[in-house]
Amino acid sequence: MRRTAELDRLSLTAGLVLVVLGTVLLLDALGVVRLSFGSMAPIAFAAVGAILLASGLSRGA
Amino acid sequence: MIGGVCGGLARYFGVDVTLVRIGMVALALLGGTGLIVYAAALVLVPSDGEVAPGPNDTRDRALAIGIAITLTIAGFALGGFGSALFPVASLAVAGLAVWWLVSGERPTGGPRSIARRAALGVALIMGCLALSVGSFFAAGFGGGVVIASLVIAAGAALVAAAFVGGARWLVLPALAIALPLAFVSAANIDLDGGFGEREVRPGTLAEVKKDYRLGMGELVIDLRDVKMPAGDHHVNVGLGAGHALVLVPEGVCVASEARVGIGGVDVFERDGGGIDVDWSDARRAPGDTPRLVIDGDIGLGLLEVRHNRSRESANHYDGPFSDLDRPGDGRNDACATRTASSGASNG
Repeated sequence: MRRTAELDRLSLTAGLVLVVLGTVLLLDALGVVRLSFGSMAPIAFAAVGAILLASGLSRGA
Repeated sequence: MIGGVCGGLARYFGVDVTLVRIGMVALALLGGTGLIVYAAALVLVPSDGEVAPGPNDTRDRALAIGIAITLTIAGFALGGFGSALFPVASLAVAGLAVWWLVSGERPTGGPRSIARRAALGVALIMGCLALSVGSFFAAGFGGGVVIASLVIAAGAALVAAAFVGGARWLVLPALAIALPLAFVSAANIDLDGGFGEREVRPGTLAEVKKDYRLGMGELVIDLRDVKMPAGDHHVNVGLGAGHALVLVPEGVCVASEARVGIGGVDVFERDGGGIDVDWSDARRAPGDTPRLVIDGDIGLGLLEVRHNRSRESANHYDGPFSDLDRPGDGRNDACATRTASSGASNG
């Protein structure tokens, strides 16, 4: 019987975070939204924080 | 302190922990060498919960820490941060720490194994640095859509790979291109227009362009030879990153508006700065006085407006939020009054 690979939570979380971050950046690059530091900095920090959190949790699991 | 390094070293050498802490702080103050020793110990010394190392592991770790201490002390002796040894030792320790964070492998084993992991970590740092620089410039030259698409593609690949074992190696490179793009987008940095120092000095009003732009560097727009008749004259100044200086003749009233991502605006006796600066200095001129309306768009840097180019005005910036009134710089005296809408705000 074929063994199913285990779900890598870090890759999943980081991937989702990057998709969201990339979409925000794409919208800004296309001129749909205009993001300043006041709004971009929390988004970027939250993205990095989410990935670090997922990294820590997946390591502890 | 972080990681219990001082406590661990004190127990290892059988001395009071206070002595180790004092020594570490002293080393940190004396050229920063204590920081690299601390970082090396943080990475190399096993934690309390770790399996006790064998005799060879203990010897290798002691050797690695000894080399780090020797390198940093030698670096301090040869000039502290300024010597070549300190950056090399710092980079090696940073490489070990990064590789540990990324791979989860503590730097255990023999010197060859530790050196291999340090080299892998350094290579990772350099690779990400190169990606970041490339992303910064590509985004600055208008490639934001492409880079954002790459970030989305990397994220989608990570999500897909999560179900077949994962692709964690992709996280750092993706962040290395995403974060500079976020920075460039937030600061609205546009690098089109070239690099370096550029100075323009039109002699007549007809030679004055409406738009002046420089990607990165120093842009000087010297309008002091221009005889301006009464009425409004508009100049747009665009700068991706650097310093823009506009020199205007005496007797000309200057009104200015500017948007600055990170940096400041310094117009005669008024200035403002910070991040997301929205500058407005609306001035009215008497009927027979010419008015120069400057519209600045600065990504990262400083926009200055002066009557004279002095050493202070060209190369010195006292920092944001410090009202300046330097002798010789002149004032915006040709204007009638300042309207209530003048000022800088950080959005």
